[in-house]
Amino acid sequence: MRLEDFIKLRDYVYRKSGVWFGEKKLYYVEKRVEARMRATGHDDFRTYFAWMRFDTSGREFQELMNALTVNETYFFREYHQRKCFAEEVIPEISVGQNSSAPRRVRVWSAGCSTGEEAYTLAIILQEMTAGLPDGPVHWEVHATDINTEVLERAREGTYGPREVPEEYLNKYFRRSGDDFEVVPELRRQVRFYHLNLLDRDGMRSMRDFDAIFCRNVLIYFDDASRREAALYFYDALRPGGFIFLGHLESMSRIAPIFKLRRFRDAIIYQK
Amino acid sequence: MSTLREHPEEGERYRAALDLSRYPEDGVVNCLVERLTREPSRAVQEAIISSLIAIGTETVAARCAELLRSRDAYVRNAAVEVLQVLEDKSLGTVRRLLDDEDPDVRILAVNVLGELRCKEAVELLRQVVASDPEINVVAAVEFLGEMGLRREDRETIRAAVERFADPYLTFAAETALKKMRAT
Repeated sequence: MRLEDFIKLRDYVYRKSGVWFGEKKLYYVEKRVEARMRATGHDDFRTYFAWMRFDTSGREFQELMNALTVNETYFFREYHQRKCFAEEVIPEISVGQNSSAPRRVRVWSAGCSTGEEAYTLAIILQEMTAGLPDGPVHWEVHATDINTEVLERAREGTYGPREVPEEYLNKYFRRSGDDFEVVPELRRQVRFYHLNLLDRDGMRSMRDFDAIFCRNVLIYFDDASRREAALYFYDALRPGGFIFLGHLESMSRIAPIFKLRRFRDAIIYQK
Repeated sequence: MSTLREHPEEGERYRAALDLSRYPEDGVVNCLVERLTREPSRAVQEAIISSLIAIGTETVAARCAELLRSRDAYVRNAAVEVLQVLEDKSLGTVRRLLDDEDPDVRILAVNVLGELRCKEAVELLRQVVASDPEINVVAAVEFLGEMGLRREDRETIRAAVERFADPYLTFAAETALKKMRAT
């Protein structure tokens, strides 16, 4: 892939999705673009790009994005963001509450897939809120996805031994045959349910969250849908609530209503 | 509509703005556009934009075209964004804007064209690069670099460079021509 072709594609992808690929990613992008060219019957980049660029359905752009941003989900993914959530955001959320009422932290994993992120958040919340000097904090994790099959898997809470982080293995998992199952005490505080992020009524029912994790989901939406989902998220957050996106994503390009908060370990968007 | 216009709480106006997306009547469009220019809350403004996009009629395109003359940069950019998303519904409006006597309006119209996915947009961009008297053709050159596929597009860009002795246009044209080289 020539550098000029890479730049042309890179600039277009950035403008449409906010996802940026530096020149070091040329090989990575090249392989995936070549795969899309083969899949769509195009012999050269020029005709492929023109075809994709003028495709009014937007389908090929979505396929290209799927190929460029293949997502794996696993426990404690994006360590720095998790660390920020644990050590900086949770204390801020907990301390800021009305001291006369029981403290409560509500977190939403939007696009939870097979549950690794939701259980990761639950472990973090359990670890960081246990034994706080000012009394107990009740926490809950809501985890939603549009795909009912992954939700089933998430509810089972069973994972292979290599998927589970060793330091939490004994505390939060129990053996289930060759696999490990999330312990019931933790699973009880994570609720999995079906939700389409563009379903108005469903999204309106999501209220009063302190933090939303929606990582590498919005990049697959078209411009109008991405903005619509972001506006629903805004409404779902309490004032001062946080939204965590994937490290390649930018909320500022979607809807400029969140402010950017710079923490020690990460930059997060806040209502 | 009265909630959007009058409710003292931002949250209520916000939800009202989103709810209005279900009503594609001209009166609703007029209410949304009018409120976009006066609303003090950015969040509510964003909700209004979302609803205008969802309604997506030619009335929305026409009203947004008027907003391109706003003194408020946010409102102008919002109008551009709506017109971009409306695709072919905004094409007729944008075509007329390319003849506007105000060069700032023509620049914004070019920014809309640069995001459209129809081949006619390329033809219109080519015409702008070939004939617009103002340096705002620069914006069109950049888009032509991405969308232009024909030899005529390269020739049009080179002719624009000769028409204007401007270093920035020369730089933009070189970038555009590189992107247009056949592979």
